[in-house]
Amino acid sequence: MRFNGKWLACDDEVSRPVIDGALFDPDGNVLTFPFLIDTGADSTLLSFEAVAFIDADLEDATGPLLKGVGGSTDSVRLDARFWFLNSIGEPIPLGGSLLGRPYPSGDEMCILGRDLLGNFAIIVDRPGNVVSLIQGKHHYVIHES
Amino acid sequence: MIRTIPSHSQPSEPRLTMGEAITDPEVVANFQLVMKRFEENTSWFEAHAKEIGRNHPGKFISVVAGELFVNEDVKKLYDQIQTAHPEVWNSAFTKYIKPRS
Repeated sequence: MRFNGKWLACDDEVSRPVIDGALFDPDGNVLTFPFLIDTGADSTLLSFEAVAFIDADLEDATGPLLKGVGGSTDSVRLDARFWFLNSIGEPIPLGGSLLGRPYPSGDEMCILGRDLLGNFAIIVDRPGNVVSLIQGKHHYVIHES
Repeated sequence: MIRTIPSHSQPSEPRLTMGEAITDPEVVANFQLVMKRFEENTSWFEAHAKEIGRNHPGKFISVVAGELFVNEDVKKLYDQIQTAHPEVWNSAFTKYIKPRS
């Protein structure tokens, strides 16, 4: 399986590797979000605007403390399901218990962390303009010339 | 980098599972269309990203069908885009714009 992503040009003039995904709310409505590929993140994390879209009941949903370069922040636990398109155009569903941000933060974006990325070989090649998650029958080869 | 700091009082780590590919042709076609529109909205955002970052710090923005929506309240923003584009709001590109430091 392969998921193809892209380098997203952000408002702070930095390009970041993302995979496009679509999140479902409990009523089956869908809303699209870019998911940052963050190999340094322990857990997949939904942005505040994604959590707001799901409209989950966050009472008693306190999650673990998240510690990053900019300091520590709170999280909430919630159940969510989302889909990504694989390289042949099939929707692949993902879901389960994950973490979300309970309020907006400066580096706001949904994040794919090692809990999910650990299942894939990851290519984030800025000079080659390639972003890809690979597993199963798909492989990559490194050529040296 | 984001490290998750565990707590003894909290339940086990979050778990995500990946399911089988969806194969219903109608569902697949509809979802591909949503993702194609999202790509277009994302491209619109990228073309205007510097300007948006400069003009709307600390606010939520959505791009739908070549139109920019801005609000300080994300749920009101979702109401705005659903009203303005009831057929295609689900492919919106939505983002919180970092406040100026």
